[in-house]
Amino acid sequence: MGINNAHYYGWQGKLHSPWISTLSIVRVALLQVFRRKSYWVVIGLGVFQFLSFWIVIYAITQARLPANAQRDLYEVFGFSPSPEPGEENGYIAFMQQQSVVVMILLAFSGSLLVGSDFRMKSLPFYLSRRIDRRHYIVGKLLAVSAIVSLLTTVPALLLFLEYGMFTPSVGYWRENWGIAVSVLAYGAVLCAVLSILIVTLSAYLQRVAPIAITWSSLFVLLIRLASYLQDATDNNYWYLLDPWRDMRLVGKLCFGVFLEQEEHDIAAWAAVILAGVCAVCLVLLVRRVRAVDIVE
Amino acid sequence: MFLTFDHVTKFYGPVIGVNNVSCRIGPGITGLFGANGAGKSTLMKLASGQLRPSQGTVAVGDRRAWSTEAKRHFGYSPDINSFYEEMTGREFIYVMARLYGLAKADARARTEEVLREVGMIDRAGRRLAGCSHGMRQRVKLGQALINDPPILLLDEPLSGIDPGGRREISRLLLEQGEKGKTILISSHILVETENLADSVLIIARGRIVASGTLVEIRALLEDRPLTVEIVSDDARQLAALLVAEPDVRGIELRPDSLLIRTRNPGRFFSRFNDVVASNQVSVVKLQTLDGGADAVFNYLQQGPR
Repeated sequence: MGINNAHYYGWQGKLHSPWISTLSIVRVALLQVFRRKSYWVVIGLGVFQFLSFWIVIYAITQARLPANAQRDLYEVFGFSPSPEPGEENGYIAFMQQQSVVVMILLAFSGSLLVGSDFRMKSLPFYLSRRIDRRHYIVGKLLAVSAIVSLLTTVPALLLFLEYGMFTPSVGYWRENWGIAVSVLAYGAVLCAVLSILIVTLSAYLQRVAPIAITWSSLFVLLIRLASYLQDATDNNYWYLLDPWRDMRLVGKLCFGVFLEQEEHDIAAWAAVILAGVCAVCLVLLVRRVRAVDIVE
Repeated sequence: MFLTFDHVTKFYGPVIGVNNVSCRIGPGITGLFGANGAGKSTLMKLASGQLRPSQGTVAVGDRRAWSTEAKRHFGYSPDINSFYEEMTGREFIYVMARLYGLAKADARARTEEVLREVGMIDRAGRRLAGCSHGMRQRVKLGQALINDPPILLLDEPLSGIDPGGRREISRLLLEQGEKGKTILISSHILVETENLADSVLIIARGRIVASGTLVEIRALLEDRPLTVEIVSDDARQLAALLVAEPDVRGIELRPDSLLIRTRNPGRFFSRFNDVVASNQVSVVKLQTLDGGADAVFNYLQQGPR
C-alpha cells in the first residue's frame, strides 16, 4: 500500500533549526536545577556573597565613610571598583569567590544535568530527534554555562552597574567600560572551562557521589600538589597545576591587571594549559556521546 | 514511506551488532523479534539514525536514516523506563516537541493532541516519578507521535503493560497502521504482538533469520522438528505403530494422549494418514504443540540441532 493511497499526511508545520533546539536542552536543565530545593542552599550562598559585595559598594559610595574605613572595607572584600596595576581587582575576586559556589553546585548537579542521561540510557530521546550529538553536547555545555553565568558573570555585571549608578555621573561606566568587557571575557573562560570539565566528568562517572568526589578532588588535590612541588623545587611554574589559579590568571589576563610581573609571565601558559585540557575533554566527550553502550 | 536496510553491518569494535541485514519495511505493522542481545536495539537505532552502519545503508524513503531530513519522518520510542522523573508527562512531551523543532505554539497544541490520542490527557499533570509503567509507555508513545511521523519505531512498546492497557495501546497502534504509517515494533516476546503485526522479522545473532507473516514462516519450517499431540481411544496401539516410522524421533505416552516428536512434519503427516487408515485406529484430536509464535521464534533463534 503506497503512502499516498493510505491518505496519510505527515506534519506540515514549519520546523526550526536543530541549533535552536539546543535552547530547549538549556531550558530543561535550568528547570531541573532550580526546582531542586537542596540546590538552593548552595545558590543561596552565592546570593549572600553577591549581596555582601552589593552592600559594600553601597556603603562605600553612599555612606560617606572616612577614607581609612573605605580602605579597610576594600581590603576585607578584596574589592576595588576601578583597579590600577598592582591593586587587587574586585571583579576578579568576586567572580573567583562565586566560582567556588558554582563548583559546589556543579559537583552535585552534574549527575542530574548530564549523568542521568547516560545512567538511565535516555540519550536516544535526544539523538532520535532532528538533533545529533553535536547539538546535544552544545546544549549541555550551554546549560552548564548558563548556570555558571547566572552565578558569576551576571552578578559581576550588576555590581559594575551598581557602582556606576551610585557615582554622581555616568563617568564610571564611560571610563571603565573595559571592565564590563573583561567581566564578560573572564565569564566566558569560566563557562567554557567549568562546563567542559563537568559535562565530560558527568558523562563518564554518571552518579552523584563519584562526580562530587572526583570533581572536588580535582581542585583540592591539585592545589595541594602544586603547592608541594613549588615548595620542593622553588619553581613557580608548578602552580600551573592548580586549575583555580590557572583560571584566575586567565581572568587577570582578560582584565590586564597583574599584582606581580611573574603572574603575567605564566598567565599565557595557564591559558594554554586550560585550552589543552578542554580540548582533550571535548574529544573524550564526543567519543562518549553515542547511542549505544558497548558492553564488553 | 519505506524503511530500507541494504546489506547493513554494524561493528562495535570487535563485536558485531548486526550482520549483513537487508530488508524493506513498508506501511503497516511489522514486528521485530529476537532474544536479548540478538541485535534488535541496534537495528532500531540504525533505523532511527542514531547509529551509522559500518557497511551498507539504511534509508528512509530516499534519504539516509541519519540525516536531519530523514529524522523528520520518524518517531522513536526507546525501551527505557526511567526518564526525567521530575517532569510531568505534559512537560516531557512538550520538551520533545521543542527538541524536534516545533515552534512554541505548535508544540503546545501538538502536545495536547498527542496526550488525548494516547489517553493521557487527564493524567498529563502527574510527575513521571508517580506514573505507572503503562502510563510511561503511553507518554513514550506520545513523544514518538509528536511530529505525526509516517514511520514509527517502537522498542518494546507493550512490555510491562497490563492486559487492559495492552489492548488500548494495540488499538492505538492498529489505528496508526491503518492510517498508512510504517510501524516497526520490537519485542522479545513474540506472542505479545502476534495479533498486531502484519508481518514479522526474526533476528538472531545479528542476522535476520526469517521474515514474512507467521503463517508463511511456519510453512517454511515444514521440514523442521515438531511436537504433535494425538488424543486417541487406543493410544497404546497407535504408539506401537508409529514408533517404527523413520520420521518419529520420540514418543511419550500419556494417560489420555500421545506426544510425538517428529523430525519432518511434512513426511510424518502424510505417513500418519496411511497408518491410521490402514490400521483403523480412531483419532479424537490431533494438534501441533509448538507451532505457535514462540516456538517458531525459539527454533529460529536457536537454529537446527
